[in-house]
Amino acid sequence: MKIIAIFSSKGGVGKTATAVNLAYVAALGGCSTLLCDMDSQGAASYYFRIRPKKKFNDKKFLRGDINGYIRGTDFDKLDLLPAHFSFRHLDIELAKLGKKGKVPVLRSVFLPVADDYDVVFLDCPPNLTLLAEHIVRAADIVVTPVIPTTLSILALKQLLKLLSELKLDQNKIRAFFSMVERRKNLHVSTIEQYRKYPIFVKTAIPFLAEIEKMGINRQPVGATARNSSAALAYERLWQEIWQRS
Amino acid sequence: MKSGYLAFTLNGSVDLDRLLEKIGSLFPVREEAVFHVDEQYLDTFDWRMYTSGFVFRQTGARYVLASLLGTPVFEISGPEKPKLFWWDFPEGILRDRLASVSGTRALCPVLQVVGLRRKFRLFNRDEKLVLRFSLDTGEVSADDEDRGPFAPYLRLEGIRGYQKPRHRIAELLQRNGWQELKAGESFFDLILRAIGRQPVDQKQKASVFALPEQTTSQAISMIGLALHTAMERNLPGVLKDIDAEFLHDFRVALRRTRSVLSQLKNEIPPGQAGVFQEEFRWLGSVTGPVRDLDVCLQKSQTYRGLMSESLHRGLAQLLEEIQQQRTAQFIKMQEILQSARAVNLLANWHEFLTALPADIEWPAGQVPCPKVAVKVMRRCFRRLLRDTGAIIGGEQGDSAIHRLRIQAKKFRYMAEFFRRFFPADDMDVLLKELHGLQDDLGGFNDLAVQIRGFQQRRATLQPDETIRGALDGLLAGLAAEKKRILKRCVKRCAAFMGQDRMQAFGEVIKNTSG
Ligand SMILES: Nc1ncnc2c1ncn2[C@@H]1O[C@H](COP(=O)(O)OP(=O)(O)O)[C@@H](O)[C@H]1O
Ligand SMILES: [Mg+2]
Repeated sequence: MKIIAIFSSKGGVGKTATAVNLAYVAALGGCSTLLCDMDSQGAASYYFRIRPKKKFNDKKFLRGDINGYIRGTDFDKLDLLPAHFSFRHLDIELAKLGKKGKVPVLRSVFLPVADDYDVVFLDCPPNLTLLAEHIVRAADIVVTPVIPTTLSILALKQLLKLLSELKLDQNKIRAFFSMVERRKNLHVSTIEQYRKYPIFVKTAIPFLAEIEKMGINRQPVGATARNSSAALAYERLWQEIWQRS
Repeated sequence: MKSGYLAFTLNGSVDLDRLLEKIGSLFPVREEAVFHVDEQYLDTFDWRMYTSGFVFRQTGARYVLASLLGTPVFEISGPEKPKLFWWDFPEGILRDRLASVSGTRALCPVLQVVGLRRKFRLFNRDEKLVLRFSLDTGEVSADDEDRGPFAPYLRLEGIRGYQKPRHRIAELLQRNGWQELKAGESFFDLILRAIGRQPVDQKQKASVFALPEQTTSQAISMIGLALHTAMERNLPGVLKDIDAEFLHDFRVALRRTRSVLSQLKNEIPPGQAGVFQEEFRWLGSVTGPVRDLDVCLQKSQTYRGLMSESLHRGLAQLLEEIQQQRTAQFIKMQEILQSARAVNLLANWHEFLTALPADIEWPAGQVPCPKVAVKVMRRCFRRLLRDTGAIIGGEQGDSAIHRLRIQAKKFRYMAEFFRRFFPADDMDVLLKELHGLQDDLGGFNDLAVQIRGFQQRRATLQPDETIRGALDGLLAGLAAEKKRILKRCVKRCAAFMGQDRMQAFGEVIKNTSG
């Protein structure tokens, strides 16, 4: 079981869009996949039309009591653990737990279903505090969307700093350019400047209306149009990430 | 993923519109797809697929190996032939699986299903998929006589985390006359039931045994008839040459019949016993050559392993010749088995066995069976010890081994027929011990037969033929193998005789009174 976190300290960079579509492509390719919605706003759950059960909460989640709360999506091999509103307190609950045990807390959460899934995607809320630490510790791969703008690059630098503070291997980061608009000079020049760094994968996800419309269709872009450019872009991105792992 | 399914069936036909209306009042329902189903189910004559928990389906050139409960395991394309062996399929996991299950048996169509499979999806108020179900309706046929509609089969496929919809639909179905299939019951069971078949109806081995309250005539009649049935059951497969196992099983039943006749000849009206004995000996002799060649052909891999690669071409040529010879022998045998002599033999034997219990003119037949059993077992046991002793004493030629092999078989057959009259534990242990020895005796005999066959063949060869090299290599390999097995046989004989259990069994047989 590989844990892949879709992470950025910034909001609105395309984390959820990425998590939803990568999870869909991974399942389509034959991986038994779990998408874990960790953002209390529940955007990923919303895209799959899945509501959490009322009895679920952050404490149960951190205890690894998740088996009864995972729900099947409309797609083969793809399940989802919906976010609960209480997840907004994950930071506080993690602080209460303190530091104990060798296995990172967020890894042990998924141990009860380790045999069921090949890949677990974490759709993370924007965060740079305790939760962020736990996420990067637990993840085998940290996928981070970077809009080619100054602020977004800043967020990437913060992530790198976090990893070095925690003495974690920066090789687990896969950065990619997200919501790219070729007609914007800033985008083009930022990409030119940064794409040489090996933490960036080659595939970029352009800014596309189909991706924006996911909010209306409430399903991954590939489910709406299998061969759309958005669907193909996510397929390429997944192949690159999976191959490099 | 983890979700589970529930399967239902209905007595009578489905009113789909009404059903959808009822389901629709609980959840929005949409039809996802309709498939036309035209599938053959294949299995061996003795249902090895089924008994190993598989179904093997064919649609045109596509083959699906599925678990009995319907989960597809492997798919592959293969040839379209009326009977298939595992080696007809391309190499891969499916073929390996088929090989381990079907062995040397042919896979033949046992059932044909023609019908419709409709698939539906149920949604909740968020338009989220919460349940899938499929409905199978249609007709099943086996051969040409058995044909009929099978009961509708409805399968609910749950979605993980959405138990409630599945539960509610299950309830709705039950309220409307649908019955849930019992645990472990499958669609395959359902279609079998539609034509009144049971997968094991061919299988019942000749595990028939005499009962304490029977007279000798009754026991002979019962056992003989069971063996007669086994012969009759295998005969069509022999004649159609479906696979080599039919002839093998036919001959096993025949041998057992001959054992009954020879071991119990004093219990059967004189004259009759002799005639049948003679006729069944004949039947054995006319079916022997094909069986010997079958064994040869099944050993081709082993042969290959016995000789250097340079001789493989010669071996292939040799096997080709054997195959041709087998075809010729088979045609001869086929004719003989359909001759009046063979047909009458089986019919007369059946008639004789049926009338036997009522024959009060024949007092020996009225003796309680246990009495005879003890007498026969003592004799068989004595002879088994005598012939085993001979081997240990140094008589180790082909004929001595052959004699012991036959004696061990007679002993086993009689021990199985009469097993109810002796302590089960002792009998089981002894028969198990004997089994290992019998395997080696059988292996030795097979080799002796093959060597004899190849020697004869060699004598008729022209000096320059390429086959000669292969034959010489083969004969050398087989001779070495035979020597090895002989050693093992002798060791086993000693171990068998030395068994405390066996000594004790001798006592048991001596002390059991009829
Ligand atoms: N490549 C893209 N092209 C167009 N719109 C995008 C793209 N990626 C994300 N969006 C839209 O941008 C908004 C924020 O994206 P989202 O994935 O929710 O970001 P995050 O999870 O990082 O907050 C959403 O409305 C989403 O539909
Ligand atoms: Mg988000």
